[in-house]
Amino acid sequence: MFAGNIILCKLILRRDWLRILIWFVVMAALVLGFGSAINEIVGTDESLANMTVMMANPAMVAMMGQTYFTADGVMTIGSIYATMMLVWSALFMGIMNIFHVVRHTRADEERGRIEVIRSLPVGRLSSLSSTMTVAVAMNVIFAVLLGLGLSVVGTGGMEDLGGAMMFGCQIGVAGLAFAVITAIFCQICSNPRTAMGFSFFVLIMMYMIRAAADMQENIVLSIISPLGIIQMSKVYVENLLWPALLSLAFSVVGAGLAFYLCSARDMGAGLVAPKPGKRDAAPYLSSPRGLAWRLLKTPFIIWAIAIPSLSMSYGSIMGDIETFIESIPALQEMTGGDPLILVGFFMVLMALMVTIPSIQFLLKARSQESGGYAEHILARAASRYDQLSGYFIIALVCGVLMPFLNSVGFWLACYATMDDPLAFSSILVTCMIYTPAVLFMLGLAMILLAYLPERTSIVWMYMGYSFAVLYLGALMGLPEWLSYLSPFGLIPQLPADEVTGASVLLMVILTVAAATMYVLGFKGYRDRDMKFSH
Amino acid sequence: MSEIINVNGLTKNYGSFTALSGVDLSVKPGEVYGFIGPNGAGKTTTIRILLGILKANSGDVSVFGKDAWKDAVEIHENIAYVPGDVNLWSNLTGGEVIDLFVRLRKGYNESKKNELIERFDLDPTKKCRTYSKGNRQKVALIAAFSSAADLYILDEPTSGLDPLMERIFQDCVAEVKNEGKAVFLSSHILQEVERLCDKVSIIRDGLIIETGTMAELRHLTRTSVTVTTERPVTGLEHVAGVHDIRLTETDLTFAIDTKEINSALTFLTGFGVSKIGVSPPTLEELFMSHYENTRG
Repeated sequence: MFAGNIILCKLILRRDWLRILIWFVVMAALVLGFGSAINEIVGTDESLANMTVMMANPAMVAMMGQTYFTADGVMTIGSIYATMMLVWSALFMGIMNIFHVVRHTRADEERGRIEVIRSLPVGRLSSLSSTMTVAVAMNVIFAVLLGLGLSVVGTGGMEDLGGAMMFGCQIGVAGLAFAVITAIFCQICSNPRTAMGFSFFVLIMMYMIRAAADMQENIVLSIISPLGIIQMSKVYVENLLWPALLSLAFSVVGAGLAFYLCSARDMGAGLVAPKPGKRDAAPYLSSPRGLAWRLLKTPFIIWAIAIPSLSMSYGSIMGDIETFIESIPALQEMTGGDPLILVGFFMVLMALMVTIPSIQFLLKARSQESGGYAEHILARAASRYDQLSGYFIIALVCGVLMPFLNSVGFWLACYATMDDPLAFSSILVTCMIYTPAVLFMLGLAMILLAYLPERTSIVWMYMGYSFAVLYLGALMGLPEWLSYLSPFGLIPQLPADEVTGASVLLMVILTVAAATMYVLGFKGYRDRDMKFSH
Repeated sequence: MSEIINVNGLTKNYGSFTALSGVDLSVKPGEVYGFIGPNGAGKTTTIRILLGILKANSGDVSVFGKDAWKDAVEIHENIAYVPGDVNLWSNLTGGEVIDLFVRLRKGYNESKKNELIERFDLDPTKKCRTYSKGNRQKVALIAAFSSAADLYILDEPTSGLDPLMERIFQDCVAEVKNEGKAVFLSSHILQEVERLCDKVSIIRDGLIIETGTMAELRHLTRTSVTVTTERPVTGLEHVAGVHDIRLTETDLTFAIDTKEINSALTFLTGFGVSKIGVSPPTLEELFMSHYENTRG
């Protein structure tokens, strides 16, 4: 049943060594980067006390986890670190494991690679067993190296080897739990996308169950979630081992189930047959614009949920914003203690964020063209304008709607956490004032699409530049004129900045330029050859 | 309107590369027009210019008497098109794509669509990502033939179909031909063109090298014959139209101009034929004989 396991493990490593290495760098940056920085943030007794208050805020508990104390009833740097980082590090390990397992089981099966492997003298369960062997090895190695690393970079009590290794151990155990959950879904579902979808759904559910458990201090709920149970080890304070052992026991049983299901099913099939798709198209799917909406509907909805969720999580710290700024020297320096400057900073970042889907949706027109999909449409009774306008309209709506949802999410969080919440109208203006910059970026994407269709990535470079000067520039104090080279830097950062006559003029210019670029873009797209990638 | 497609002196350049130089074409109603040539000869480029997806550098390109570039949308109301490389949206089902395609034209026939889905034996409830190349082609063919078009442009439509489905495709072409519609069929399979087409143009390196009815082009085609005889064959090289004689231990292989095939067979029977194999000329052989003809 398991013949050839070792050879297949080597194959996985041969294919994935770079992928695994990149994941390790990401995890190390997350775990060790913050581990070495935390002492600067909560190094003094005063900031430690401030942080302890802030971490007990229900929004923070829901997002990160329950706080826990030493016998003397205080939080240490280590326990603050673990409260902030354990769940999120485990979440990242979970994502890594989901990708790994789906990639080497279902995805390979769908591509017919496993068929070739199975025609060789290897066992029926070897594909799954080699995938799981590598998953176990990966989680163990990550756990050990990250634990050791944490004890090296940590200060203020975090160099304690027992605590650091316990941290590593917990995230490794959580990662393994998601490898097992994914392995089970890979047997049940008949294609990689549904297996991946269900696995991520469970990951998010487990995160939310943990959040509920932490807010209600409900032990049973905590044990159910692989992300909740690991917090019960009270890393750096008590270093309990039983939660990890219990979680491992669940994983062993789950792995047994996955192997049993794997042996009971045919190759290429799932235990649940895929439900047949639609025989006929929905009525709206009858024009190029209908098709554009059909193709972009799912990502549009995902963004429309993600944007306000993100702004709600930003907004949830508004209740303790002054404490938060005081406890982090870098923010103190950047804002001079004024929370409104920090709000403006959040909002310019969110404005950049909402521009991403907007550009993506417009450039979908390009991938439709290069992949030969647009050819089907243009060969029928549809003009170039019909074809492009669908993607353009969705991009435009996205560029206006997402900032609005952003302000709604932020306002809701402010309303829930602040004694004297900011007015919705002022938050709305703060978010929507970036609209000329968003429209300008979209105009640039239009021009590239129309005149340099093979160079549309230029707009992403410009976005990257904007992000760099506005995000890093603010934190590191880069010269201000650098940000004027980005449309986002030309807009006053409300509510702290003032709207002057000059800035209004600039916004008008950006909007007019954007509109001009749209007109030129449509014209250029109308008058050029379609460019295919083959 | 006498001509469905009329192309005069069409030239298309990509930078310094000349994809098409001086292409002329003319297709009449009720005509099945074959457009053959090897890969990269310019077949797909020509079709995309006919459809207004690419712009000609020079020359007149008109379809239904209208300009292929300027009046593209109007023209397309009466065109059904099947591309050579059928890429479909992976998360839409075949049924959704067929509906989308037929709705993008005016006037389609729901019962015809269902009949074709049945005839081509397609499961329209599956997502396009699960379809093989042949099934994707079926989607495009069903959408094309369920529309009441006046011109069907088909770019190598059968390259992924099995022989059974190829037959159904040929029936569909015959049906629309009988209704007086024009069909422009590009292919690199000579037999397919021979079976279906009234008129043929051969394109190579962006140049039309031969145009005519199939009968007119017959002089270009050569059949290859493998024969085993009771007595050794002598004097075959003196028979008109015989080329490339090769003798192995048991067999004799040669190529014969198709129009001379009768005299060669009569000659061979004199040696007691015990086994004979005849294979139709391939496109490659046709080109070879074409070049020999133009040289000689």
